[in-house]
Amino acid sequence: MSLARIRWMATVLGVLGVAGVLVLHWLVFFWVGTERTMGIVQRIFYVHVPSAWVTFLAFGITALCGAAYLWLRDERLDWAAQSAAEGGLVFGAIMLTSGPLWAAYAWGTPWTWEPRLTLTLLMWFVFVGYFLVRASAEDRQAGKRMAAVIGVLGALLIPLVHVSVLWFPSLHPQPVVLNVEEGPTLDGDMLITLMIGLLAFTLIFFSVFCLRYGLEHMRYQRAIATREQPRAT
Amino acid sequence: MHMFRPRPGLVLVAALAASLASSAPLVAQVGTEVLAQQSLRPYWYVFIAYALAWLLLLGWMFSIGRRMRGLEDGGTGKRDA
Amino acid sequence: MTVYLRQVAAIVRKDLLLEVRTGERLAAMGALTVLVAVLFHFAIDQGLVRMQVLAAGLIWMTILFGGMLGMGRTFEMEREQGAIQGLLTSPVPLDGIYLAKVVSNFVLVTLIEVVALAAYWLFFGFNYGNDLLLLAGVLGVATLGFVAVTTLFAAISAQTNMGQTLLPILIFPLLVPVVIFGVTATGRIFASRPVQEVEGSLYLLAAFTVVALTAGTILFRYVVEE
Repeated sequence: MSLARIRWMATVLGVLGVAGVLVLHWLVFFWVGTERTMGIVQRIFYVHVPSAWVTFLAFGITALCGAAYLWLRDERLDWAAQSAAEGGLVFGAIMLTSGPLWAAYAWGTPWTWEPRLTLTLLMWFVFVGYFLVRASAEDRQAGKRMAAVIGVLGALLIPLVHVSVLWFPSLHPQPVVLNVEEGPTLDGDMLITLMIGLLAFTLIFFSVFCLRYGLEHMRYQRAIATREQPRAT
Repeated sequence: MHMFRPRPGLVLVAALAASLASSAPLVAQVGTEVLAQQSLRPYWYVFIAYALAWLLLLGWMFSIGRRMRGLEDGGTGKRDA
Repeated sequence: MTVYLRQVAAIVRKDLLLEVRTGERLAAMGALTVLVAVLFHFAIDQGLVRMQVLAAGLIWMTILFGGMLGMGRTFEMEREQGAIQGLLTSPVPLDGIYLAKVVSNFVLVTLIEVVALAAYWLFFGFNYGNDLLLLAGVLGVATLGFVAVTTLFAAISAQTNMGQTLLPILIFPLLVPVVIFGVTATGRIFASRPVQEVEGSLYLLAAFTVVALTAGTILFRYVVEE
């Protein structure tokens, strides 16, 4: 894909995503009903859940592209894996800041060991490791492979980590206040708002993903232009 | 070598900044309406959560834009932070 | 197959022999284990908390940190001496090298587990329950999973300029299942609870170990390839 094409896609996705975000803002602040038990603060839900979804999506893309990179050794797969991982880091941070804010008000404690929150925290640290290894690798090509290995191994072990943290509360009883089953049962308007949120966040993610991918593309072109051939794999 | 300026990034940045700025008075407005009955605290939590979300996203896009500009201006742009 | 096993055994033998001769890693791991126990004595107000309640958690944390300290150097000595090139270009398949390293690390970590159990028994008079065979089984399965993950990441961190500083960031998020089910199972064994209460944790530890070992065996070649 040419650079212009990537840029075009980033723009289109970005415009759609921003439109979605504007609609989301209007829905969240003016339209959607207030949840009965948790009140206003429940509106954080519409940024929290979509960012969590995007974090998981990004993790999946990183793992899949990483595995494909190890197999096919196509640099573009590494660009995609890296771009998605960076997105996972950013959206994971959104999830991890909005979650405690919600919890601090709704349940009176900023951090709950709620399984999905815990899982996202751990996943976020896997992403951190992904970039630390890339940045500190003595050999760039080895760094790419090792980062891919981290992505793949992370994806293989994360389901087990998920099962562990899911079952952990059943081993140690938790206060009922912190018992968050599937969030509140959603009314129609809340479901619509959530869906718009998911859509908008996904579009924004892919837009910036394209932008980030374009950056790697530029680096590659630059490396060729300056005759500093990227080492063949 | 002529390279493009990261305009899609700027579009996103401008639109998100606008949405962020527009939501602030909205929150405040909704807030004052109910000020009589209840505390503003939950509104602040919501506002901070949304503001942080957009700030993180904007930060990401700015960092990509900066790295792109660094490349265009002849930097090597070799390593990410 | 037998050739493969013999090659693996040869590397294991070389590693363990080296360990016996220099005693480098084992001494550091053993010392850390004992010293951590000493520090826990001062870190926990035993007038407020009964140490036995924390037994499983303390022992697992000690094993994790002690094990990590030693395993971080899995490839260090060979890299310093340049022997890693010889090992990688030898006719032994790369997954064989990984498995050999897992086995020798497993032996090391098992040894420090014995040290840890002995030290905690000596210092705090911990009661390890009645079913020592089951305890050995749980520790064995969990340790294998721990070692499988850590050995792979030791190969990764050895190729970065951050070295072992990187290791905990890489392995701790993925070792959560080992900690949760390892601590749960050993804690219940210490309390002499019936086997049924331990089984579930043991199966999940086994599942983790199988996934980690398989993934490590497959992925190791991508980490060390030239």
